[in-house]
Amino acid sequence: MKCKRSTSNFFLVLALLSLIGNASSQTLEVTDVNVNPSVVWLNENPRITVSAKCRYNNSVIQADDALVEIKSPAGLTTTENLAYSGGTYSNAFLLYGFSEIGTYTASVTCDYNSLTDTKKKTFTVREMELSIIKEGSEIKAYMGEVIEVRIDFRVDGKQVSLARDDYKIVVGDVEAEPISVIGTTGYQTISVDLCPEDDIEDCMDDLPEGLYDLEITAYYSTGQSVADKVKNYVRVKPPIKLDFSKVRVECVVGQLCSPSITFGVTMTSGDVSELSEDDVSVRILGNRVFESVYVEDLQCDKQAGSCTVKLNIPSNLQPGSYDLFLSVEKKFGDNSYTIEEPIDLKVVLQFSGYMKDAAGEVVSSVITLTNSGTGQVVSGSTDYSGRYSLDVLPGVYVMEARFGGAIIRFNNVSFSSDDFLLGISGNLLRYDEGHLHSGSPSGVRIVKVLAVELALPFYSAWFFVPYNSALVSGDENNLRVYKCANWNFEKGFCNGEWKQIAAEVHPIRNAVEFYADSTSAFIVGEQRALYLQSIELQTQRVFIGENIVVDGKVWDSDGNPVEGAQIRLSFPEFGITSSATSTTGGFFRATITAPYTSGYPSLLIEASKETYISSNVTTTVGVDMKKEVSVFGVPESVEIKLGEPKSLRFKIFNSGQINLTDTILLRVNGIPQGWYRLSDVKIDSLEVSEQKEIEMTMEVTPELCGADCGQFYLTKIEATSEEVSDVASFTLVIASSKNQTTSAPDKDSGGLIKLPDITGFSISVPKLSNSYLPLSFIVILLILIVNKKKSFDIQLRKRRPGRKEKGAPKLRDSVMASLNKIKKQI
Amino acid sequence: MSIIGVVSGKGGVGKTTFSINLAAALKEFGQESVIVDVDLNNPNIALHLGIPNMHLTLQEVLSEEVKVHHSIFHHPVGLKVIPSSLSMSNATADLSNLRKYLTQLEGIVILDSPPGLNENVISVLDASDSVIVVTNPEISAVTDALKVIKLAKDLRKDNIGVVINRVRNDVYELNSDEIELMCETPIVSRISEDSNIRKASFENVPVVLRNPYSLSTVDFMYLAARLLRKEYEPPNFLALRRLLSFRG
Repeated sequence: MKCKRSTSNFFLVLALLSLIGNASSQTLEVTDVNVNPSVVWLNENPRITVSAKCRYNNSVIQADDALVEIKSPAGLTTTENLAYSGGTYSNAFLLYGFSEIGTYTASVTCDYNSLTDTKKKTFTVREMELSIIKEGSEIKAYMGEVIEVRIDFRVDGKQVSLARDDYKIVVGDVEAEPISVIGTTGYQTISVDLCPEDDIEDCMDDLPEGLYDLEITAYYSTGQSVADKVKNYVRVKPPIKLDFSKVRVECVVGQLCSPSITFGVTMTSGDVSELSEDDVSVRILGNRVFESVYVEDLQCDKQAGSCTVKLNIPSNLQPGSYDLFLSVEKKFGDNSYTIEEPIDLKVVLQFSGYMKDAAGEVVSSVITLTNSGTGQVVSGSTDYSGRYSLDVLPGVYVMEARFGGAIIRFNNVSFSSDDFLLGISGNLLRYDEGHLHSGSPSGVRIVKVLAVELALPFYSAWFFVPYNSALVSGDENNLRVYKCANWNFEKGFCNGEWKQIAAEVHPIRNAVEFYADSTSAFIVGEQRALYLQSIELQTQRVFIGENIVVDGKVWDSDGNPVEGAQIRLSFPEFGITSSATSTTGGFFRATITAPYTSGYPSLLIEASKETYISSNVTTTVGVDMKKEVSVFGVPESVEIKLGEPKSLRFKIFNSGQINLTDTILLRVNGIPQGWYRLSDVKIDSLEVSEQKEIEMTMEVTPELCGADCGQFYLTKIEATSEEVSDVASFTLVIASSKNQTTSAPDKDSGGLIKLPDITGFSISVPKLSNSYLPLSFIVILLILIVNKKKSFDIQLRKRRPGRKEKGAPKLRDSVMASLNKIKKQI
Repeated sequence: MSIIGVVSGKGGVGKTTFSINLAAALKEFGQESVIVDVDLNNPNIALHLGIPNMHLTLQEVLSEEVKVHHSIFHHPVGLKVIPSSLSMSNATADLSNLRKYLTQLEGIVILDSPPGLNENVISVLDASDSVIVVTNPEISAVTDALKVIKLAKDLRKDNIGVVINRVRNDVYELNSDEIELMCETPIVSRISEDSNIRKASFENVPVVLRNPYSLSTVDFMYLAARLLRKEYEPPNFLALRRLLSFRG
């Protein structure tokens, strides 16, 4: 125990002695200065960490201040504070602003209790540089071919050549293989193989044709690396390239198609002359067709870098668009690469024919077809022989055909693959001008005739037809267009009616514009006018309700009589009309009833006929009310007996349409004045339809009618005024009281003759007694025999005309002489 | 279909009466026929048959306003008639295409021609397959008939026959041989003068139907039989039958 206590005392003494000694000499020291890393690459992240400890009297302390100063070889400095943590000062920072390479000094300074101490530590700064030297905007890299890339790789500013394995080449996302690195002053050239395994097709799958970024990384021996990347620099191309940019193949449906296709060929190695027919294969794809095409021949031109392949395309393709895939195989040792490019193949319908008019002359024309759906335009014109040919795909088109100045636009012209017409040779479109040989429309002066025929279905056609205004005699605005119902193109004959169709005239352009829903012949013409001449009314004055007869003649403006013109008579004020038709020579006779109003109404006479301009004439007719008196009720005959008076009653009737105000005088002629007596000899007035009964009493005595007195007297009764009169007559039969006529008394027969009454008429047949019976029988029998014989004779004569039978009448010389004379004269 | 043209040259020889009664006689044999009144100026058939109103006439047919079948008037006695318009304004129709319309008819067509030698007669002759020249047994009628026969022969009509109408069988008329020698054309019938014809005409019926036993009826029946190539025997006891069927 004593020993332990003495040892502790010893150490205590030592501590006290130490304290005394320090109090007399205080020290501050920077220790454990460290810079990490000791080598810094400027091309990488140039971050360093500086650490140190501050010791005061050998004890680690937290100094008042601790910092580090970085000093470049050229004397550039920067100072950073150090942070205290766990007895160690440290800081990590970037070497901003330092581009020098070489040995840098890091000086760490601690301040404590007015004491300062500094310790230095050196570190190395280096730099590695890599840049891709661009040659042009891009480099072309054919797959399978080695490309060369220039780089500039330097370490600490000096060009350094690394081994090829120290480089990593990436094109796009695919790593390529550097084959060799050749250092040259100023740069290194790296040979790069894009397809190191020589499987071109796989490589092309991994790296299809296109423009890619190039990134090169260099790995230095120190483990550092540096990289450079150029965007869109490597243009990767297949090892063989076909150029079909100018190739279009069109085949006409239903026809054998053997096109020769010339295409450009670019090859990485070798030349095009190596290719043969076996290297080329062609197939058709599209429109539900997948079919191989026979390659008949292949000729390649090395200098031109092109090949011409001749194909036999099947003729059974339906019209439409196809892809013609042409494949060329290039061999690379055991491997091969096949490139396939599509060519547009159009199997088209052919719209062709010869444009000739009805006389067989060539019609120059330009035809343009515009596809209504795609807007594709196909145009063609006739050649010297009139031939035209346009290849079109099936579809709906607007067809515009220009024939000189005439333009015809057919809308919705349908080219269908089902239209067998297109496969049959012959004209599909015809045009003719001026050949109208017969069947021209009456009443139209022709200015222009054209005929158009299109064999394809269409919706409507628009026509713009110029005309020669010098041929128009009247107002051009009155030009009309007529369409033939049934046109014979070859004969130039309209076998049907001409119907006027709507048209618009452009007088300034000397053209007409119209639409038609079908093709035919069209006439641009002006209407002839109708003229009424020689209008003659049979009477200028008529009574109310009477017929007015109008005669006249219808002409056209060229002076030709017009047959079949409709003549319409009318009194417009009264709505009375009638009609007639002109006959041969243009003559007509029409009748119309006069209005039931007196005056001078206008009679309108109109002539009209289809295709002619109508004409009318107005005249006036005097219509009067009828003034008429009638004597009626007078019998045909009147029988009187001598010495016996007899009365006859008759009536005076105003049968006109106006009241009679003049005095009407009654007179009897034919018999002496003493034989008769009238109840009235005058009538002062009679209103319309008023009648007045007159009694005429006749008495003839034997004294008045002497021995020479006749039996019949035609007796007239006259009713007369200043303006009107009427007469009625009867036969006066004078019968003596002893010798009466057998005529039955007239029972007011009203002027009609009574036929004899044969009622009760009988033939008085004598009663046959027994003695007459045989005689009667014999007579009847003879009659029958004679009658039968006569009929039989006639029958025989008729059956054998010209033969003379027994008993035939002899020819009479005088008669025959007379007949012969007449015969000679005839 | 056969077209018989009934012509005469001279007017008033009885063409219309002949045409009507020939049609009636043909009908008695069961042969349908159509009488066409081609006398445009003085059409008489309608008057003979008492046709009241004629709405559709030959003129409408010729102007193609109606079809020829529609223009046939069916007379109550069974005759078919295409009448002609009485209107004077319709007297100028064109007969040049007459045959074109008549060929649309069936049976026998009897054309009642106008008298004379004008264009209408030529049209009738032209349209006819056979020609019957009606004449009277008098020198003026035969002279005119000869002219028509000559005209018909000029038109290359070879089926021509002469009918002597109103034959009285007395010495004051030309007999059949004289007429036949004059015309150089066979006489196909002699129609007896018969007062019943006037009566029948007054009653607007053919005598063939009104008086089936009269002389003229027998003559018409013989002619019809000859035209139809049929046999005909007149009824027995003609006179007695006439007597028993007496009507005014």
